[in-house]
Amino acid sequence: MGYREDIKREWLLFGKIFLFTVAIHWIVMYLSYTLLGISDNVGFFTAFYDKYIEMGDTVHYLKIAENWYTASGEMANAIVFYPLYPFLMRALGFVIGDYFIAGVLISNVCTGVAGYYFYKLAEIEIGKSKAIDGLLIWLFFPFASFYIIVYTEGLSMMLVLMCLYYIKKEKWGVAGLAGMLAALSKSQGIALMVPAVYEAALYIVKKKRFNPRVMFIGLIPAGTFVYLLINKVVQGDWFAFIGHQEAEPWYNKAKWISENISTQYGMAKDHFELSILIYWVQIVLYFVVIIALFYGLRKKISASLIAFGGAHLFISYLHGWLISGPRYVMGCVTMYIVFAVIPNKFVKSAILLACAALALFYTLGLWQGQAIM
Amino acid sequence: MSERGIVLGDFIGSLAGLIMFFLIIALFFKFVCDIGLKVQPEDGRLMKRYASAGAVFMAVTIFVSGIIYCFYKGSGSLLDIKNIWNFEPIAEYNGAPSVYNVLTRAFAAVLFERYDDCAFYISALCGMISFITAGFLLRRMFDVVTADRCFILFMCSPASWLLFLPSPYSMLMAMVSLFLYFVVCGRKDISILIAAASCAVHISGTVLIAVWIVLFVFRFYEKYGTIAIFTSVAAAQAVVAAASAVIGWGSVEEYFFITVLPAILCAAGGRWIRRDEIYNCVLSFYIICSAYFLVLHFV
Repeated sequence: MGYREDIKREWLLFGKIFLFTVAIHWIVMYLSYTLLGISDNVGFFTAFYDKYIEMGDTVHYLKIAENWYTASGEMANAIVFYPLYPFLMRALGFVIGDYFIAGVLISNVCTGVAGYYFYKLAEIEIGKSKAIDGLLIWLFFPFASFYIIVYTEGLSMMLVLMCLYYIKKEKWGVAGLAGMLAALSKSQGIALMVPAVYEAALYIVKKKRFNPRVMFIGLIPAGTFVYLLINKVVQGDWFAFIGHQEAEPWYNKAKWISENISTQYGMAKDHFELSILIYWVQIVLYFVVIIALFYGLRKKISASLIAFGGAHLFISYLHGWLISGPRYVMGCVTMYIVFAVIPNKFVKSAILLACAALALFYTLGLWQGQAIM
Repeated sequence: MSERGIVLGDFIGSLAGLIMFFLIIALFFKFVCDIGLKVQPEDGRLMKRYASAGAVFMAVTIFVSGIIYCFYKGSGSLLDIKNIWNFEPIAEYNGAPSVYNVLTRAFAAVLFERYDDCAFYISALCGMISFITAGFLLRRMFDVVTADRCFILFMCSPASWLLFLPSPYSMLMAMVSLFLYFVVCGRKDISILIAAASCAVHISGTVLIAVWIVLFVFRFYEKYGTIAIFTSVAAAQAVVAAASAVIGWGSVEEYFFITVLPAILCAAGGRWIRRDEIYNCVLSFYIICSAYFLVLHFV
């Protein structure tokens, strides 16, 4: 009886958080739409469909879902996008007949599930009341709208959170599987190897013996291997994606963090409007997050979570010609948990309010087609 | 963008890289503590204390160097660290072959050929190791007040910026500090290994081999303690310095700096260190000499 009650309670909690997460994102999306001041009689959902079907990376995901990767031609460079999300779009799109709507559905379901796992992870880490604070700041992160449009962010975040949660629960098989899928959804997924190894080492030391189950964390890099294998099979080169990333239109060559931040500074000085939307944001976010990680260490957040945050930030800022820095940093789960442990309620409220305002601002920018990507 | 803007951009970028570097070090240390290596909370606090002091010292040194550089050059930026400290690109380093160069190249290969950044990071790490180890060494040998005063003297020693300078000497000094620590702990095995490794880092590393022989084979450490350490280091270094000067390796500061920590260990046993008037005079003299050597570096 007690077990059934627990299951029921857990499902209720899941339902509440799922709906709350998805609702908040759509409320922000809708409020930004109203601020747009469109005078013609286009409904919100029609406007959403028309606008976001041709936004940024969505175009690429739709083409991959439709045609998969190609060895040559115009679409050859689509191989830079990780396969899991467009694969799911293709599978669901086959059933419902529209890849864009499939993508939106997948993003929203994954985001809702991500909300639940975020709460559960934060609850283990910092307790119930602070977990809610962490959830709120995650929901109102200025670039959170990317979770519900046709981008891989929602899916990736869900898988990352699941992996981190099951690592904490010492369920190595599920953690490995989630991590593998996360590594298949986004380049930063491989960063999960850091907390996995950290916690596995602690687990072995705690149990004073080696448990073969911890080897399941080896599935995480297997996800990256599968992606490289796709490169090899489709285009004959394990690292074909690197060549495409470095070429037009991305010019994204991996460089050391210092060089990329210096470049960002130069771009910020030369392009005022873009500096507010992209460059200064990326520079400031880097320092804010890394200082937050040190603060989190001081506040005794699990070192494995801090290590994940550091690894995630590290990989994100190795991208040369970085223009999606805030979107990449969005996946750094640790910073939301660190926010939640700030003792001063006034400071926390101020940060949350500022984030909510910026969330509206940047979502409005998305609607307007500004260089937010 | 102006030249000043480029320098500021480079500085912000370098700061970003350095902070990431320190995060990795901090997490590694935490991992070591978590898996149960015998590090006490008190040790952690001491480590933080001395590492913080080291970081502050480094920042102040860079800032003061920047002011002197700009004053001497008539223009420039406080943040132009590369020119202020006159990095030698590692590929063109002139001196005895060194493991430091090999490590820098190896890391630079990972960090997209940023040789100068790697040299800076490795030397910053070596500087931290030097300060932390010196702090532990002094705490082991003396009471809190004496240890702290000695630590400040060490920090303010003439040419102490060598501890962070992107060159093999910073790595040597880290090894000297570790060597002395393990000598004082009575660990002959670890100290000889460090002495052997330091030979691959800098020509002055050979001094540690000679010192180890004097201290443990001839048992001078048992009989004479810290005096034995200082005299053996000074004597061996005099020989190495003379040879280096003839060959044309190294600088004046490198010739004497290795003797600073042993000298402090030797002198700190006296009562003078607890007498404020004497200690303050000595400290002032140290600071003036340090400033002199710093200015000399640019002239």
